[in-house]
This record gives sequence, C-alpha cells and structure tokens, in this order.
Amino acid sequence: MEVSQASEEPSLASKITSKRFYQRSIPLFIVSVLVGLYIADYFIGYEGKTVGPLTPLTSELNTWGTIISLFILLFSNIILLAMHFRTVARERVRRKEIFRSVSFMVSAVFFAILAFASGPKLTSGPLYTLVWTAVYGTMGLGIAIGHHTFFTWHAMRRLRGVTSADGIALLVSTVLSLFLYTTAVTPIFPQFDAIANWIKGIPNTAAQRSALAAAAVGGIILGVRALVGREPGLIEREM
Amino acid sequence: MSIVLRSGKIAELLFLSVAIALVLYYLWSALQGKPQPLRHLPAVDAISDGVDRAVEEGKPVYVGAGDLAYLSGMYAPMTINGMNILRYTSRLCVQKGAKIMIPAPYNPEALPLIDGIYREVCVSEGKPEAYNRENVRYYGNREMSWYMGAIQDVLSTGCSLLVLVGALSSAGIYIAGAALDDGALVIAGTPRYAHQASWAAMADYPLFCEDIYGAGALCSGDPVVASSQVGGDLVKLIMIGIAIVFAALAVVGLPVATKGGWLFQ
Repeated sequence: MEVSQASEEPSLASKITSKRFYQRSIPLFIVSVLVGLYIADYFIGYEGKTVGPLTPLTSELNTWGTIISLFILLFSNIILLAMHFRTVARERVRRKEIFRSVSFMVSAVFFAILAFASGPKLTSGPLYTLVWTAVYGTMGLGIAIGHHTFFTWHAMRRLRGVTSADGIALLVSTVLSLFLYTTAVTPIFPQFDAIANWIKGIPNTAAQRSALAAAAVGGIILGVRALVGREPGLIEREM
Repeated sequence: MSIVLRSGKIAELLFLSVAIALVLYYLWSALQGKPQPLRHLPAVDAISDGVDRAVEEGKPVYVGAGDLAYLSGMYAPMTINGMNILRYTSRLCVQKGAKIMIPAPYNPEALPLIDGIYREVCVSEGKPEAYNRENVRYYGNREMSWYMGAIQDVLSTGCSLLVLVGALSSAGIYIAGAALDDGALVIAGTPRYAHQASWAAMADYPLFCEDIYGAGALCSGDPVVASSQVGGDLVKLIMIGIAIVFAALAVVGLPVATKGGWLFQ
C-alpha cells in the first residue's frame, strides 16, 4: 500500500513541467505579486510628490502589460485566420461557412494592403481613413439607426407585460424621461421637466452610485483572491 | 525624500483594509472546511431549464461573456465571472446534448480562452466530439458588425436560450431582441450601471450589477470563491451603514464629505 502511494506521488520534475504548473500556478503567482505592487503604489508616495518609490516599476509594468496584450491580440488574430483557413481547406463544409470564411480572409487581406498603401501612417493614413469611413461609417450609421428603432420597438413590446412594482416604476420613469426630451410635451406641460429632472438627478444618481460601489466591491473580492493566490483561474480546471 | 502614505488616502486605506480583512476571513473559513452557502439565484437555476428546453426544441443555446469581454481594464472582473457562467452553461449543454453557439467579443483577445474553455468542457465530459470550432463565432471588432453578425446567426439557426452575462454594451440588446422574436428564454446582465435598464426590459431573468459576481461564484462551483462573495456582502452592509451615519453627520454640519473632510483625509 505504501509503495503504491509513493509511486502515485508526482516527482518534482513532473510537477514543474505539468501544464497545471506553468498555465495556472505561475500566472497566478505573477498576478498575486502584481496586485500587491499596484495596491502599494496607490497608497505609498514620496512626501510632497505625486510619485512614489514604486511608480517607476509600475510604469514599466504598464508598458510591458501593453506589449503582452498586443501579443495576445496578435495570437488571437492568427487563431481567427487559422480557423477560417481550416474551414475553407476542409472537404465537407456548408457553402455558407465557406462564404463566411472566404469573406473574412479577403477582407483581412484587402485592409492589410490598403493600410500599407496608405503610407507610413498605415491605418491612420488618408486612403485607409477614406475607404474605412466610406464603407464602414456610412453603412454603420444606417445600421445603427435601424437597430435603435428595432430595440425601442422590442423594449416597448416587453413593457406590455409589466406587472411587478419595480417594472411599473421603471415604466413610469421611462415615460417621464421620454417626455423630457420631446419638443411637443415639455413646452405644453412644463412640470414634466421638473419631475423628469428630479428622477434623473436624485433616484437615478443614487442608484447609479450604489451600483458602481457594489460592482467595485466585486472587483475588490476578485483582487483579494488574486492577491492570496486563491483565484481559481479560467483554464485547466477540467483536465 | 521620505516615504509616506499619499495625501487623502487614509479613509480609502482604512476601508480597503476592512474589506480585505473580511474577504480573507471568509476565504480562510472556507479553506478550513467551513464554506459559506450562497442563496440560489433564479437566473442561474433557469439556465438548466433553458438547456432542457433547447434539447426539446432542437435549437441551439447562445452563451457569451459579453461583446466587451476583455481581459484587461475595468471589464476584466466582469469577463472572468462571465467565463464562469459560460463554462457552467457549456457543461450543461454538453451533458444534455444541446448545441452551443458562443459569440466572441469584439476584441478577440479572449477568443483563445473562450475556445479553450469550450474544448476543455467537452473533453472533461467525455464528449470530445461535441466540440466544434465553428460554434465559436467572431463578428468583427466593431459594435455594429458584432450585432449584425449575431442577429444573422440567431435568425439562421434559431435560438432557444440566450445566456449573455459579463461585460456588455448596448449591442447585446439587439441579439436579445432577435432571440426573443424566436421565442428564446433570455438570461442576461452586466455590472455596467449604464446598461441596467436595457436588461431590465430585454431579459426574462435579468442579472443586475453585483448579481453577476454572485452568479459567477455559484457557477464556478468553488466553495472558496462563493465564501469570498459573502465577505463582500458584509462590506456592502458596512458601506450602507457608513453612508447613513455620515449623511446624518453631514446634515448636522460636521465636515464629512466636504473638501478635506473625513472621507478625504
């Protein structure tokens, strides 16, 4: 029995080379140290100065954070291209999927060429900006207006079924706020202005601030779990 | 130059210290084998019912951590909780045999992670064949392209259950509208306070603000995570108490929230 227990115990080498160690334990340790550093930098400073002893370090870490984020973004974009390339390369794929993947790859190549053709400013260059604004700006505006109408229609339909007290409060507040912005109603009934502004300024602001504070507490909890290395992480939990 | 506590940070440090102490206490209790139970959230319970419904109807379940599910900045905590809910929903779908569709966020930085969670769930449930890379959908890096793509998918495949919890912008409401048109059950919410009303109107089971963290803790199935949320509840009770007491003190003229007052020491 003892022998079998000893043989089941993983060796140090296997622990270090395990995915769990380098995909979870090391990143959690790094996060834990960084959380501690940033908290300390927020509270500690030199007397009479806006910077502190840890400021150069956190500033450097911010730069590295940006660099690593860009690598993650690059990695994600490569994965996206690879996913679409695989879809096209596979034998049994629906036409719709092939169309989607080919459109994605053609667009990516087109905008990459456009960026290089726009001179040293790349995506900020005049040609790129012109095409982007013409294609996306115009289409996007039309889509946005259409969808705002779509959402308003849906929201109004959903409000038909309001039966609860909080739902009725929401409905009344919505209607009064809508009246505030209408040119027809407010001049005729100026009292709507006072009522709607009171709703916006007092209960709405109070609710917004309490919501923000409650969400911040959630952030603190997550930070504390990260600080003490008890955040379970998102990957490598199943296997 | 001497090192000191930064000016105006005493009250913040005190509050943070109390918050950390409470959360640590509950974490320690959980590690000692005394986890704190969390009450059931109807929205979380409804996920299982919704998956059953999807199996019966033969339509897919759409689940995502939000169109703004970034791994950095203020959206990161929302994303992490959204991922826990995504994992939970994915697992139920794989167990029960429902098709799953995962809309990835605009910024694809979380896409490999989403894909990894989905794949891990399929493998751990003993159904690696349930994983289909094409079910992780990317709709471009702009809000409008995102909701156009998402709506198109919902209209073409149908939708029985939409679970959209995490970092959401107004784009999520459009996919919710398309899903509702198809008779889907919508479970959605975000801690972003500007978007609370949207989900109050559009979701059958809305999750408001910190509900997302509670739902994430429930879905994680980790007693340590759940216990730390209980510490957060005590912090909120203290905040309410402080707000009432300090408001009363401010009314009687004490320097509580004025410039250089107690809260800004």
